[in-house]
Amino acid sequence: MVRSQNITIKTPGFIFIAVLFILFVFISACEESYNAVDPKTLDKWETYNTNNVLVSDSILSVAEDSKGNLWFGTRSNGVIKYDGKIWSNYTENIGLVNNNYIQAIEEDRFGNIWFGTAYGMSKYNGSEFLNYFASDTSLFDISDITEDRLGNIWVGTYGLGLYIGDENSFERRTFNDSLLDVINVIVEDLEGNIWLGTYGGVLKFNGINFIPYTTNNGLASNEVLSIIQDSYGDIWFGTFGGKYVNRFDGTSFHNVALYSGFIYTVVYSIIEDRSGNIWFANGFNGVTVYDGVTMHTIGKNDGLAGYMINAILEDSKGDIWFCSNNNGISKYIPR
Amino acid sequence: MRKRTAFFILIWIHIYLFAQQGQNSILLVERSVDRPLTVHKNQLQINAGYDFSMLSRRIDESGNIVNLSEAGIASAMHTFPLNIKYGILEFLEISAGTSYKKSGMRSEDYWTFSGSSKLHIQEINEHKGLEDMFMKMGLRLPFNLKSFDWSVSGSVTLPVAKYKPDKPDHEVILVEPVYDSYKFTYHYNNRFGTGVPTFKIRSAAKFRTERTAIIASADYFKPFSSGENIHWKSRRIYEEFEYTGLPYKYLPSQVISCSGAFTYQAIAWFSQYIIIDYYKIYGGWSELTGKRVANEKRNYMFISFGFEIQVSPYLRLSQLVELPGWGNNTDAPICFATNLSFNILTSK
Repeated sequence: MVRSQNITIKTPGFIFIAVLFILFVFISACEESYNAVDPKTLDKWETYNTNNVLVSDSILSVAEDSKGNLWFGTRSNGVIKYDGKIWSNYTENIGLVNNNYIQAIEEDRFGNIWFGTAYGMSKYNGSEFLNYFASDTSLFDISDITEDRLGNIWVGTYGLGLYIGDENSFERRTFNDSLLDVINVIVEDLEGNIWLGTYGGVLKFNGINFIPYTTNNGLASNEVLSIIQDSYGDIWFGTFGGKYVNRFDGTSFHNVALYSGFIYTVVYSIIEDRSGNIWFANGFNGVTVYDGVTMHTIGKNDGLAGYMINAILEDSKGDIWFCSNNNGISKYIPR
Repeated sequence: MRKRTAFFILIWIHIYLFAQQGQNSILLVERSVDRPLTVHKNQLQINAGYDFSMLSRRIDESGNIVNLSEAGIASAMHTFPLNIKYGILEFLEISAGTSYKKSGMRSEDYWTFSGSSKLHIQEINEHKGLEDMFMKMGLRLPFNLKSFDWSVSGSVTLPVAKYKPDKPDHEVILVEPVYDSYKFTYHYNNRFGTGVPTFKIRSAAKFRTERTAIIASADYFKPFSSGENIHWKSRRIYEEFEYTGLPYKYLPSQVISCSGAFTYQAIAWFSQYIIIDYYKIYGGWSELTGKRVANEKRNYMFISFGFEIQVSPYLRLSQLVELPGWGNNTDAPICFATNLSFNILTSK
């Protein structure tokens, strides 16, 4: 009887301690919420211009390197680098080939940054510049630089055609139509095809041949300024003067009208963000965002620095950068 | 055969219930203020109810009331909770439960464009389904019930309920052909499952006098781990919609809540009560856009008034109304809840 009473007193105490211990283990085992962005900091716009940090308000190109640095090409003030804290300026004074019209920026697989200017090309290895010039002309006006999956560097020019090579030598390739030698944009798709947007339509290089696509195939205009491949695998084309942008599904071109307030479109840049929205940089009317169903246009009232946008980039943090022709840079931090 | 089986079940239930008419069954008619925080040994309690929540107001980040009715987007939620408790010992109970919920919320309509088309967009967010099932164990002290007792309990919810949203559907109506104007209705089909195991601890204390009782309690809820869900992205290719399920990771928020309840036993079979609840919701994140974004912090206080009637030795009926108080970043529904509690002693 006495033993029985002892058991009834001790057992509950043991259970209580055991339960508290189990609860402590449960709490300790739970996943904590570290490194999450405060939602109050989202859906915000920031503007960078000569009034605060920039040396130029005219920005033509943008790229992010593998270290997270952002590189901006200016119209006449060289290159601007932003490492997340400090804005630095790289000009002819420290070795850049030329300060004018930095329209192409590309990082290669070795971490070198390539810059295309109106008068040549520079490769920057982090400490010094190696400059490239055309052998037959002083005007080596570069529009775009892309490294393909094989490591070849593709250089597009305004009027001199295409240069393909590596850091040691380049081979020039021209086409039988001078408009095709005006290459605005070079993009490699997921299948390894290289797409060239020219003033004479689109050229698709499948590894063997250059296959042309023009308005006869359904392009809205032959003056192709921008190309991307979206997450569905479709290729989008932005043109100068077309009534539409084009979506190419591998078989045919489909017209998509941008609601930009203008009859004709001038689309200098297209990106798809990580949410699947497609952003079109309108030459005259800000930016149009297409979520797959609806579109809306973003302008100065929304926070964009200017209406004429030359380039768009989504960085590795998911922030979207807009380079304007005369009003500096806008950064949008999406929700 | 079915009728015969049903008849024998009824007879068995009848004999079983009347077999409880002994000294132990007194426990089943004890007044609300006298009850311990856990059910008695061998007591089986089945609680089932219906809650109707009417959402016509929301409290914004600054604590201001936003009238949803004025925007025409008020909504309602129907909840059918069910839980079962059983007393293993006089101081130890186990319980399990879940609830079925259904709500439909319409967002504010807006006009937009797609190319040259003018679109009238309406979004309907429907939530429907079971919540995850919880299993709980509760302990109580002291064993001999006096004017004060205290309990602690821990529960886990298992992610058994469906939590991934079904594929949405869109309805497109050509409103005005001349102006190329359409009405799009987006219909999102969401679920109530959490998708990850969670855990909750609770501590409660009860002070009682002859006619009154005060219960103070605190809860802490936390998910064990992050989970993965899908977000449906849609695109319109001419007249057809294509849907793509994009996976994303998430971690549900943690919740700390505390509650104070005052009960007044008007007569032996009727009691009234007032409850004040406070919830603080924090932590957690989602990576819907690829960026790990913290869930919005919320807090919310509401007050409830209700009563309980001891209908029979086995049956209690309670009703309450929850009224929104203050808070921020939270919905502020008015809720009407009815609960039936069926109690028996399974052995003497």
